Amino acid sequence: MTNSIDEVSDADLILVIGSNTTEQHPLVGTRIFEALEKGAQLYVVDPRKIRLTDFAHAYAPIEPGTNLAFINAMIQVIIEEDLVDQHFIETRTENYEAVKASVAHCTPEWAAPITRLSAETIRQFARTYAKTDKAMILFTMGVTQQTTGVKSIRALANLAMMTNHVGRPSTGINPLRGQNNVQGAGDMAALPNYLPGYQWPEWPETKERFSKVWGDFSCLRGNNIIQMFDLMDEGIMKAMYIVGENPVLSDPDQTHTIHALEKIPFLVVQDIFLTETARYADVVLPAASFLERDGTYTNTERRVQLIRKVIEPVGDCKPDWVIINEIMKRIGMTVDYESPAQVMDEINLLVDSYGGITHERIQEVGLQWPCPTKDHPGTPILHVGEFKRGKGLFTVNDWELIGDQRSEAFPFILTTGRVTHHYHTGTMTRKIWTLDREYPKGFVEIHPKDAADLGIREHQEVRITSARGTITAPAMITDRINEKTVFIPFHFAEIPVNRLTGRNLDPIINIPALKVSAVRIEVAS
Amino acid sequence: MRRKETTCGYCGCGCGIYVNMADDGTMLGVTPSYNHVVSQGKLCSKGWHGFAFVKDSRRLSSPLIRQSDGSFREASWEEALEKVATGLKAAMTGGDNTNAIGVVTSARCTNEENFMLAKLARAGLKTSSIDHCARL
Repeated sequence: MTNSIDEVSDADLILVIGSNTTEQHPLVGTRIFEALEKGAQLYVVDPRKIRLTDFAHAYAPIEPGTNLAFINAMIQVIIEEDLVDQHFIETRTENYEAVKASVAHCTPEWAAPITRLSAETIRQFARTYAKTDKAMILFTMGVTQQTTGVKSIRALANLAMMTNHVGRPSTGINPLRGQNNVQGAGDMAALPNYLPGYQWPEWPETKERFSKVWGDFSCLRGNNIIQMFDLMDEGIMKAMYIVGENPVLSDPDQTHTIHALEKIPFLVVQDIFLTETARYADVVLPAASFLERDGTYTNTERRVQLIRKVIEPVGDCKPDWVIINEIMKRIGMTVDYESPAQVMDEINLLVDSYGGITHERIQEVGLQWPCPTKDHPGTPILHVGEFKRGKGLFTVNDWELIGDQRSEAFPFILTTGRVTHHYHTGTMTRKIWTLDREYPKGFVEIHPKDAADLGIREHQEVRITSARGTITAPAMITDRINEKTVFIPFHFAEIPVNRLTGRNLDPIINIPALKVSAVRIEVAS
Repeated sequence: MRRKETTCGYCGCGCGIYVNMADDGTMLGVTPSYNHVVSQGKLCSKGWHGFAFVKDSRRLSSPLIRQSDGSFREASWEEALEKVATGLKAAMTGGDNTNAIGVVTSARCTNEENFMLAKLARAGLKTSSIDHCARL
């Protein structure tokens, strides 16, 4: 998030796009309700009538995968109607004219058939966003998991910059991270293209900085998770170490994922349960859960917080950091960490934004990065006065249609997501009876009109088929989903929806278009 | 009864919780942290109930090694870690191993663990192929 969760309560407009906030980030959801009680407006963009739409002042039931066309049309309206903040553009940004030229044709009338929204709805969203002083954008994977994911985020940045909605309280563009430490895992460079702190590995000064502490290291732009599974499938990758992930359920195109796991000559999986993925391992290492070890997580507002060992590890389990430390030593590295706090000392040294964040300082309250020095108070709002790179860069993000589309053979668009009481692949929450009883099994949401056309009754078993595979699920008939669109949560191993999703990737960062798959629906015989 | 403060391990909100324990260490439940900057004394259903998997009987409790017949057998840490180190070292080419070895880490891991895994991958295994679930 460029801004902080606390600021949501004080926003005048909250634009929620591709985020089921009350269900997936309930404690951000409560802040939206606090803002509504103070008179804020709520605008929602989503292909499902999520709970927030019941409270929304405007709702755009968008066609999955077309956010970019929608955002570019908002930008066109704001320019056309001269609602831009010219002073902000001139003093704080660059390359605005290129964006202005690139969206000239993106009128609401152009976007209407693409997004299946009315031109007037798009105009209403654009005008209200531009004219509201404290307007905050919240988004999640509903924006990113499509072939134009990166472009859509950059377009949101254009939108925020041209209207001076950056670097001030209760504004900004705010991704809500779906897992507890997605932010921190990225910050620490569990990423193939960065070293910790988003430092490019090939930069000479970065290389020098790290080699002083790490010695010789691999400084390429490596393979991302999608590319790794391709290399495994092709027989090129020889060994794989998976920690706390369950790609059999979470990655696209399950058949391909399983084939790759079967093929890799040496697979180590470290987890708390024998997950669907761990079943393919050569060695399984039992890890401690978040209640059985010490360390820090970084939440979605960049706040680094302590987790504490509440109980001793169950059975013969060990904390991940202890296991990793052992493996480091056994492959010949000269390290021996005695505690997570000691690892944080090394992070302080190598990552400027974490430079002043020590375990000692965050005993009571977490600190928000950037926090470069030991006396720095942390940073609740990014880009105040100046962007990190200096001038904010406007980027051209032309709309394009790639990946799955409706066809005669596959006339529906399938979108995926979660339900309130479960978490990701259900490894933990499906074993907690108070949560599991709320959603003991999966389902497919289908619009009443489509159900009638296909002769599908409530709870009837339905077969869903894409170009990648077939699954069956009981029908949940509801007008909360758009027509010709279906929704299936991905928590349930017995309804593995990622058998249907494909490896249609965003060309820039390879995020798979899990929110957009073409499928056909029929009654299962 | 005693209680210990920590951070909820589910979504990215990062709510503050107290875990309540009986004197013998049995977890009794969760109380929200009233002063926490994000959650301010509130929790969602996962926050309230989400600790209960910890003592589930299906938890892995010992390292497992696959046998030639395809089944797993329990192993000591010493044996399992040695096998991991041997297997990883066998895949190392002597040069850069970016296409030979992959490391997939987790948003469930702490910052410190992710940092260690980045170091293990790049400085130990000499591979730049490290990623986690941010895309998924």
